[in-house]
Amino acid sequence: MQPKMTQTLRIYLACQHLRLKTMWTYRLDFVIGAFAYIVQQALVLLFLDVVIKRVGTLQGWDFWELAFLYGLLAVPRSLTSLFANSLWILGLGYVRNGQLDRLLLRPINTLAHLLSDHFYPQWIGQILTSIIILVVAAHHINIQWSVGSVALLLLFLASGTVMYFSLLLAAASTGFWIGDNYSLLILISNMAEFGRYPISIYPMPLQVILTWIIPIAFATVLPSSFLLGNPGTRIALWAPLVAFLTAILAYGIWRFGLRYYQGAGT
Amino acid sequence: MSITYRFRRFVNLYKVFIHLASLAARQRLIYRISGFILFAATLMEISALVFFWRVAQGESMDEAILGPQGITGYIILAGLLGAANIGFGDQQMGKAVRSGEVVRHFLQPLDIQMTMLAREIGGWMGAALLTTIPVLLLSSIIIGTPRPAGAIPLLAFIISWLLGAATIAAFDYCVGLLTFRTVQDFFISQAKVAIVAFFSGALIPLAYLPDILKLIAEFLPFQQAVYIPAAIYLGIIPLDAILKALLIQIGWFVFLILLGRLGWRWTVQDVALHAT
Repeated sequence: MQPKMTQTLRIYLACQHLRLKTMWTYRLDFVIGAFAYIVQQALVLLFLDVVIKRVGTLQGWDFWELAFLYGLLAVPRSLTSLFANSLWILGLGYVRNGQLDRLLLRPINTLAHLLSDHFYPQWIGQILTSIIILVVAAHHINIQWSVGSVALLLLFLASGTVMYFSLLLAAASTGFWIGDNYSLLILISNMAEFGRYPISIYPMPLQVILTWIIPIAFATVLPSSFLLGNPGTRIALWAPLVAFLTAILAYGIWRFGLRYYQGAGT
Repeated sequence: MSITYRFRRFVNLYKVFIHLASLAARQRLIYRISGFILFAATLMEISALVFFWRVAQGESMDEAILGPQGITGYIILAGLLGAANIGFGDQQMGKAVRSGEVVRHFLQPLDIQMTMLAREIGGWMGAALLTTIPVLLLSSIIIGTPRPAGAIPLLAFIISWLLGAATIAAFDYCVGLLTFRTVQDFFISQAKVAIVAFFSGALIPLAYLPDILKLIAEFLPFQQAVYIPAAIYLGIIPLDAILKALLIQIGWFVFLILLGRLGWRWTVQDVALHAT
């Protein structure tokens, strides 16, 4: 019998609560981990600052608009990393080592169990800095913030998170077939990095790929262009639908892979 | 012990490290599909930077800083060197400490620092064969850049590349020693990669940095991994200055090796091995 969603959610939250308690036992370690990511984020902004000070704008995008764009990518990415870090080791750590059998035997949705198996609260540091970057950038750019535009921003962030998670899930599911798929996950992650800059800087074929095949543009560039009031960007309002479709497709690939999985045979 | 005996012992030990390096290289080459995917990932990473810089810089040549092939040539080469040389080698120590495998290093008659260096350099060679060199050749054929400035710069580049990789491997070892004090090796590694990538010239030509950041980059060893080999290859460093650049790289490598040795001595003072 499939466990109910509420029961699965309750078990998932209980697992995360335990992990938080474990991590909090080693507070200094937690702080080191969180701080390390703050350093990483700061260097990204420093890079943008150095470049923009030299060239002025990047195809009309100034520093704060680029920082806002980066924030729209960083928040979903860090949220996904916090809750779905296990996906990175599905192939190597679970399928190849037979650890997935352990998850299949438990009375909890396998995907939920996988996601709760590795939880690093240190990613909270990255989430907080990403949000700070987004908020500070939003304050400096030319957007008339209202309840409506804030709600739209939150919707775009939620869609971006779902999209990024779905891409990662689809890529991770290839682990059922190819085992060591870590490189593929790096490939997808690198593709997502393209969303850090305005996609107009890329050649047209790449723009098409980033919009319709790996729809990162719907997570970053299109929403920020729409919020900035750039013409011809109403397509950004399709972001939640694109996120939903991506999630359905990714979950389908996951289920297909799980059916294909035959166990470690030990 | 006679000098002959000592010499033979040294050569045998040297052979062991060469063997460890070749094992690590072969391990990288075994998983070829993974290697090909990594090839595509590296290509993508560098393409993003090239597109970014082409738009940011325009087609400005800026020869004194970027060499005769402009921003495209520099960014492709720097990006490749960054992808090849800057990695997560410091996590070797973290894995060894967490799994308890580090105990083996205390017991075996092999220097732990040289063992880890050999493995990292071997892994780097495997990655170079599978990813870096193919991408370099592909971009030379398709885009036409980057081309070496001559035969001597090409030869010096190979030596400089190896020295740069060894320097970063030595630095990774020093960072890896932190794993004895904290379990956050993954996150420290991520921060390290970001810092090294920034100050090595992999993301941005060092000459473009503001003066204060340029000064910081001068006093850090990271440009030995990317900017120096790239500058030799592209002819930014003139022929008569190549030898000095290589000697500085050797100096940094020796310094980091000694720092690693000091770090190890300090670390093992507090290590408790749980005998189970």
